[in-house]
Amino acid sequence: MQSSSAGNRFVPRLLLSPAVATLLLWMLVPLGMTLYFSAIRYNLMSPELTGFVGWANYEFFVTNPAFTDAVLNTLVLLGSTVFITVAFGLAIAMLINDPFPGQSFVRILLISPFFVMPTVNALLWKHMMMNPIYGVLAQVWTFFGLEPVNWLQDLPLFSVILMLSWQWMPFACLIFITSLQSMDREQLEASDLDGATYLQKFRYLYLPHMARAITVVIMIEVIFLLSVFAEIFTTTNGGPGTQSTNLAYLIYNEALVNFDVGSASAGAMFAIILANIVAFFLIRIVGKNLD
Amino acid sequence: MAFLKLQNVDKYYGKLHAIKGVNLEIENGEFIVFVGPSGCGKSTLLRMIAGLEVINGGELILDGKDITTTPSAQRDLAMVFQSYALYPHMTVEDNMSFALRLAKVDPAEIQEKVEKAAEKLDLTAYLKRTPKMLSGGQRQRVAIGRAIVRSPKVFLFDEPLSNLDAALRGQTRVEIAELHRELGATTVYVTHDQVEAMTLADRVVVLRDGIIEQVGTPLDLYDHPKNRFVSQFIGMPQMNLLPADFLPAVAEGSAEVGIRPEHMKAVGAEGAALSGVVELVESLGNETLIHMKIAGKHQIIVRQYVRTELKIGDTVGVEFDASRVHRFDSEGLAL
Ligand SMILES: Nc1ncnc2c1ncn2[C@@H]1O[C@H](COP(=O)(O)OP(=O)(O)O)[C@@H](O)[C@H]1O
Ligand SMILES: [Mg+2]
Repeated sequence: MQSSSAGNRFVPRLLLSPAVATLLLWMLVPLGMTLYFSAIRYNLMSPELTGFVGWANYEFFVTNPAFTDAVLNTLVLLGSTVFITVAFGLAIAMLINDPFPGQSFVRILLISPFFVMPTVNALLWKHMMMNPIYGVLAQVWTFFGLEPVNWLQDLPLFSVILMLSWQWMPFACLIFITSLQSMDREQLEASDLDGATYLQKFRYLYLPHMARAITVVIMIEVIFLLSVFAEIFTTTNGGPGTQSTNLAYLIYNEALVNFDVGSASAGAMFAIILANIVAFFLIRIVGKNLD
Repeated sequence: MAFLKLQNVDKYYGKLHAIKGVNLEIENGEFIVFVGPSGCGKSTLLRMIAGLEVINGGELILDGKDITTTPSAQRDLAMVFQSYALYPHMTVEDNMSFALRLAKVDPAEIQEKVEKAAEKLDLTAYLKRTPKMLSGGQRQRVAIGRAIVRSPKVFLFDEPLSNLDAALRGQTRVEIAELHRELGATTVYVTHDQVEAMTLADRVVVLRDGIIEQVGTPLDLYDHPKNRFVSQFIGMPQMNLLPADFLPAVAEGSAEVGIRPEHMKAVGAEGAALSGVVELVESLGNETLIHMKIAGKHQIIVRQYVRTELKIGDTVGVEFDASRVHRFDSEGLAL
């Protein structure tokens, strides 16, 4: 019996193997090359310098004063954007859940920012909203007699978080709206009779019902927000100084501004480690909702 | 003074007049059953009592207090839903204690009430499980348990047995009757199943198209239906209806006469008041239903408790008990 069942599994595995092998190669080749580049001297500005350098690239990347800032900025960016989008996404989804005239139109409006390309989103915010002279926000500030804020200069990281939240909140909202539609009406009615207030219903019925949707939103946002680049590149260029530099931008800076491929590759390895640390905590915290 | 009183209550869904001026008085401790065909407004009427539907006209009075516009949370009613509507993320215990916890009742008291209810409903072993891990019958009992721990003024049931299989339905029906006897709580129970209505109710309310057709004890409805509709709705198989001219001897001034199947008897064709052709014989063991056609177009059923030799196509006569004949005028009202 044992051997025949093992034999039975051989054919499916054989048939699966081309797909698995392709995926493995797809992952392993770039990873291997990055690892290799991170261990050699590889600077496009001085191509004559070559050879194995051990951990030197890593040391160089980590001791770069921008490194700590970049790691912190990455985490702050990630945490704030996820928090803002989930909180506001929930609030708005709950708000427009009950039928009202024009509901479907409002839904479409709400979701549309998600279809704007990241670069376009960043340019819109940079020029239309946040420009300290002709931007909409500046106009509003002036209208109230306040000094217009120079957003990208004075609050660069916050500005990027704002843009990202604007872009990602519709996604969160969309998932939450879908999830709310499967909320059981009779359960809500039962809780009405049990004397639950709106907040209690939210706490004891809506939140548990949406736990899975919230988990999915957080997971997907974390994946995309760990490597935010276009918004930073188009608006602040990581500055002023390193105030809005995240890890992805720092790696870009090493590779394509300083032309130090070796050190950029070492940075990429750090990015992988950071992503895994974040993933580890994420799965510990929210993974139990995905059973 | 009635405990729960509906005065001329109206309900509109847009243009649809779903409940048309219903008047009903329910006494304290009574078990009232709403029956009627699907879509007649039973659930709507129950949900209006519960406060889940806005009442568009008339008044609803509970225990001397006008609760027409009171939010459901403050009406002190408990409802058992058709889908049970248990909170899926809470254990059985938390489901049952939810209302009391929200009302900030003393935890020791909650504990005691939940344990008592669980014992009564045979749920003690399942208190720590979530609804997912229970069978249909157990979920149903949790829903009832959730209602009884609150000791509400009125229990409302909306077709609570319709999701159970036949055997469990019969058993749960008996349990609900027992529970009502024990607690003596005022109960309004919606069903489309006349067996449930007949066995559970102190009084049955027959509804059609948002109007009450008749209110009465189960046997009262069976023996004295006020109109053609009730006569057809209560009783299985239905009361036989025949145009008056078939039975001139008993019809006297009516348009239609009705006779229940068990008040008829199949006899020899000669000299009988009626005669017809056998179309189908259903032998159920304890009883036999003989379907026949009178004058080629009027279908009637005769029920007898002795077996029969009759076969399809035989011509038979029908005798009936003249004192059990129901007469209806041309509007369908009983004379
Ligand atoms: N939310 C609603 N919106 C519009 N019409 C409804 C609604 N609920 C019920 N109705 C209508 O009201 C009538 C009574 O429905 P209901 O009380 O559910 O019947 P039932 O006796 O089968 O429980 C039906 O014609 C139904 O279509
Ligand atoms: Mg119904």
